[in-house]
Amino acid sequence: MPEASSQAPEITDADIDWVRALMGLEILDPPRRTFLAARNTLDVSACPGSGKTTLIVAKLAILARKWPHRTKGICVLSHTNVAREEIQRRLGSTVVGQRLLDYPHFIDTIHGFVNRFLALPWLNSKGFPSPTIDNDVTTAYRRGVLANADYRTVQNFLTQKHSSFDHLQICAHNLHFDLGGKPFPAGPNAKSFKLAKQAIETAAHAGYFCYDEMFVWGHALLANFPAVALWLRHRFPLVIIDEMQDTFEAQGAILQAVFPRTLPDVIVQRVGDPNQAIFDDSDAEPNKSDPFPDSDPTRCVDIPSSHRFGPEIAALASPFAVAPVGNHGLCGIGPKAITGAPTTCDHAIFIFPSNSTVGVLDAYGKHVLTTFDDGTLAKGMVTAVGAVHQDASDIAPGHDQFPKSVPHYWSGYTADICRKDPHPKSFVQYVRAAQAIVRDGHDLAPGVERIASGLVRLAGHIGNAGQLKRKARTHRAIIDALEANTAVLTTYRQMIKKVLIDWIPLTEKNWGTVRTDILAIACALCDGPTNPNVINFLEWPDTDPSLAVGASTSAHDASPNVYHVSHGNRRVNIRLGSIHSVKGQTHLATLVLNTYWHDHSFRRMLPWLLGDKVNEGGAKVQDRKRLLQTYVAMTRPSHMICLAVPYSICSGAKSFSQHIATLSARGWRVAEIIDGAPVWHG
Amino acid sequence: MYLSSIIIRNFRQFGDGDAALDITFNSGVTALVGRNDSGKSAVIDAIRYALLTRDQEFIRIQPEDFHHDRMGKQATDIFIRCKMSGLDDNEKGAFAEYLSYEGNEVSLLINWTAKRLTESPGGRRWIDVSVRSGKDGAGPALEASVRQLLSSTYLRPLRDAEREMSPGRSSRLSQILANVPEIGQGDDFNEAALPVNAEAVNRLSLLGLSDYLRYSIERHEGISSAEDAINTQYLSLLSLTGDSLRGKIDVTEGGTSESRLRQILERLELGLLDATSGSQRGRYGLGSNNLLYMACELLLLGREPEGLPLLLIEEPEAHLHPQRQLRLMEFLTKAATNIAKHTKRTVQIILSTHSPNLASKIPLQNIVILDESRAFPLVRGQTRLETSDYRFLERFLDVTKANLFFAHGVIVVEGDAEAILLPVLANLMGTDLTEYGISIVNVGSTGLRRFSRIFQRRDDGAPRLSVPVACVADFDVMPDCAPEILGLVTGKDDPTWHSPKRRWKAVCDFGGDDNTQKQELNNWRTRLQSNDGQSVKTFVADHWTLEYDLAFCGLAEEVYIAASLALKDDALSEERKQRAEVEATARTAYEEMETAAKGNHAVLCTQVYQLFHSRRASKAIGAQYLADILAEVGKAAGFDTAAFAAKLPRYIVDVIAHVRRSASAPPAPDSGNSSNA
Repeated sequence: MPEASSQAPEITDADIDWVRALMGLEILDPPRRTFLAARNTLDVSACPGSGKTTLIVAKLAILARKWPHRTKGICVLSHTNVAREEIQRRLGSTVVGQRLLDYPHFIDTIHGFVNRFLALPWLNSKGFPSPTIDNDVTTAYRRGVLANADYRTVQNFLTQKHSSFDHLQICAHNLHFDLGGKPFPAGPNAKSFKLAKQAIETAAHAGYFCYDEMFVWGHALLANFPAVALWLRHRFPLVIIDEMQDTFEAQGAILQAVFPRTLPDVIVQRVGDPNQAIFDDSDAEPNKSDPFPDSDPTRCVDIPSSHRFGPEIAALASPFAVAPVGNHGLCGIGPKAITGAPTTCDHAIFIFPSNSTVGVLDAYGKHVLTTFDDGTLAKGMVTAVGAVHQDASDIAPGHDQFPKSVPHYWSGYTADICRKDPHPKSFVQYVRAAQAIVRDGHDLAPGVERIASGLVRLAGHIGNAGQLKRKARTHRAIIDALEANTAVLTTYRQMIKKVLIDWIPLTEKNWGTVRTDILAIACALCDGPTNPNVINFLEWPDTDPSLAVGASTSAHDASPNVYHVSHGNRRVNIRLGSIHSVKGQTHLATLVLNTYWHDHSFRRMLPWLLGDKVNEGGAKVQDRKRLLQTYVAMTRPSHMICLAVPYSICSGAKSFSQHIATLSARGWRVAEIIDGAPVWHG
Repeated sequence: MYLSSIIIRNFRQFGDGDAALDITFNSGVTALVGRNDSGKSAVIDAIRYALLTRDQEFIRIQPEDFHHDRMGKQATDIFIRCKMSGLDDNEKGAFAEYLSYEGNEVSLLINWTAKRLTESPGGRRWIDVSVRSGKDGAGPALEASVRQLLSSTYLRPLRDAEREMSPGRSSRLSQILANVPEIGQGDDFNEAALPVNAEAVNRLSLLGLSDYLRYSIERHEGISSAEDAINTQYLSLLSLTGDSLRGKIDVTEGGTSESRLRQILERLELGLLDATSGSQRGRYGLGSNNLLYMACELLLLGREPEGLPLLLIEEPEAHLHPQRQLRLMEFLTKAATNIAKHTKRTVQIILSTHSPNLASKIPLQNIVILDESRAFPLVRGQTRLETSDYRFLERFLDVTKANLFFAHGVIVVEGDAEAILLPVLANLMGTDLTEYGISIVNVGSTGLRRFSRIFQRRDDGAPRLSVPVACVADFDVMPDCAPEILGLVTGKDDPTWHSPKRRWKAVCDFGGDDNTQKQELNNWRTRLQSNDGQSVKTFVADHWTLEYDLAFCGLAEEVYIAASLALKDDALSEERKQRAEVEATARTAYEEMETAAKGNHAVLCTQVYQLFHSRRASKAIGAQYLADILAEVGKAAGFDTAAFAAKLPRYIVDVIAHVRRSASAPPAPDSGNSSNA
């Protein structure tokens, strides 16, 4: 077997100059050049705003130009679809880069890799008809297997044991199951066990699986054909893994099995930022089997300088880095993106009464409006983010956990319509997401595709929609499937036109007619019952962001989760979201909202905020998580970082004014929200 | 990696269910043999549709590609599945996402389906083609670049090799050359550093050479002075002030380096040289060009490190004389077994042929007979042939015998006499064997069974070949009077009767009384037919040998005269004797014998047969004379075929009836390959 280093083309200084010219890159410092030229297994710790994706794309562009193989490719894996799409989009914009989007190369998520190369070939060989891989659909199918009373038996039993039917998961290829890593709390003779088994097995034989179960099938193939790993290394002598810090234990294990970092026949280059390792799913096990970055410093490269922001933001954020960044902490060598913006800003902390968030977003908005002119605002995003963003309507102002979650700052916020979620809970969200895509991208096709995939999902709820998954483009698949059914095809086209071209206002009243159309189309797609007993999926969601105060009014600006602040005749749109949802983004200004998870986030972060603690510094597990989240949030903005902190956390051993003095000395400007309006200190 | 099997449903003559086609292929050479319209070309086309071909020929699905069933109803879906086996580690990696795992076997399945959307091909999208991997086509679709890797090299029938090898836009030669890995090697041309000597020129790449040529042309005195003249004497006078026109004489060429290289390659031509003189000895014929063309394609296949090394050849015998056909087949077999030096790969070859020459050269187990839209591979284990049969047949299945692969019916005989007489006898009974496409295979004295087993499938329940096969055998039991007449014994007490070395049998050897004899003779006959089955049936002479039985049944005089002529054959040929004279003598002799026999027909016929036995008249020559005599009889006015048939031994009549069983009417005149051109 040839060594992988001889399979990957050499990257010379001339190549680096070529790609710099092609992509219009800045002068590259030594660590960046090292990564670009590297032909060995290597870990890269890249700080926020270091241009990590740009570097990966640059490296790929060079490799694409010089790649000599027809049946060997580069495997680029990332954790999220967003990162994958970003790499694909940017490669696609250059002629050389486009070559990497097709065979023999592979750019996808780790899940996508496991599905395509391991799990699906194995399932297919075992005779599972084109499996449906979707947590919601599969759980619904499993539920449907059981009679209502039986389902309640299992669900009630599991609820008592602090779990849920939704957590049932196949954990071995013989269809053994557990509750997401925890054993089923009853023996094989118990009624609930038997029912759960029946649900799992019936669904499996019909081809319904959850996302993470694909790892079980991937491992099953590896166990039966251990040489698969060898073949895949023949195929991919070079593997680049993006967002390495976010990989779960299960992903890390399978990557290690297929692309171990100790063999000469494959180059594994992992890129990520250990300081940004925050997870969607609080139950997910971080990757401990092959920790990132490598403990051997000779196999690591550190990129500590950020183009995103200047030294002020770097200095404010640096203490929150769990692992020290470089030798001198986080460096800010930006921002460069926006011309005309002020080079220094007042980074503000808004201290608000513990029982009321009224005025926080307005104060932030006004601060933004006074700092930046409209030209600058048009170029950058203004956001407000919190670690917790799920509905917390059970916690009212005055509760000691208040403000617990993002909606406590604006009741119009809905966690579920976060656009990054690829699997919304209702069809309305598909339509909203489609509208948002069309509005932002000015391109109809991806929006149509979004609605089409919602239809296929709905059809899968009602009956068998397997044949629709066989086309790369879902919209095309729907048109083909409805070829003979002209009436429904017309309905489909009309419906698309109605929501994406005519932009009928998406109100509960209008939804009624759209809903009828959608149901008719979905039924025609799956040959299911014409009046199926559906389905929460088609219901109008309870909370309607468009009705809340501060929401947008024009149809074309129906962006969900955007709060508007006006000052004089000027206006700023503040996008709200979870910290997790803004990973990888660059904002003009970011407001970090205090939220509650076991404790108030800024109460726990106060020592770091005041400079009493730096880096991990013996932080407990929960505080480690908070540090990571705070670091991610604080490293988003290019120009201005603000914090929203409840008054109560500042009361402690030191007096309030002492705190304010310390914070001012560290570079913050403090405003207190009194009766809904900011009062600036100093 | 090689194509190990193909399943074809609802494509052309192949139907669905039982009527679908399922063939397994060898990793080396597989030859598809069979009559016209048996489906050879349809198999090759199915492979081309499913795998595509390297000449990037556009495949257009025709309405008639969809199978019509017996009721005349046309299918709406064509399904073709190719299975690739024997993938090495690199190939398994290359196709990892498409692999199927069954038991311990790892294979690559390519499922090609075409669905008819509308009745007429006039519509914009009248057909929907999908190509997917995996069991039941549930795996991922095969991208264009992957299909390119799997594309085969296809040599069409009656190809115009000369045109394929001649220069021109997207000529096949340029395509082949573009794929030769070394074609891009060499230095670029650099104006700033002109090649200093011939060696430096040699180091230039093709593109470099072309750039150098262009550079030199531009600076050639004739060119530059002409350009100068145009510019100074004409254009400058015609242009307005401040708006000057300038002309430039240049080589037409342009585009990216790839398209420029393609232009260079398209100007090249491959011709044949006389090997000894090296001179371009005029134009070679189609056959030689064909060989050249195949050599080219094999060159490319053997050199490519990636992709499917599969060569499809329809009728490689086209334009080649028999000796060249044999040489070609030897060469192809070698190409398919030798491991290429650069790539460590062997080439798989699937060919269709009508040539007994080629078929005789291909090991039996590499042959697939196509018959009535079914495939019958002759690989070990699928036929009744034993290991020793394969060895035997590889030695003895020669060109003449190989036409059995293409016959509508086969008569296997053990001697020249049968081979000569059967067509004549059949004719006189009203059946022209040629017209019925029936071949007579003369295996001489050995191997009758071995040949017929080619047509017998091991599994009796499996579909059978439709070709009726009649084995014609002697019974070899003399009448009891014969041993003495032939001088094998003297009287009933001769010790030879009890000698263990005796090689002949007489009726009395089969028991004392009539009943036992009848029983035992029947058993003996049944034993001779014990290997019958499926379409193969053995027809045993009613008594002894063909000549004896012909004589016994009613042609005794004719046989005697023919034998007499055969004895005098040399004299007749040298015209020392007149035929009529010999015939007259023979007729007289026969009449005397007949009288002497006193109605003992067995004695009379034995005496007739004695001419072949003791007096060693050649049976083959005798058969020729008999054929002449009988042909004359047939020409006589008022000749009655039925009456003639009544004079023939029963088994001869049965043989003819058996082989024309399937072909109750003569087949349509040869339609050739016009349907798949």
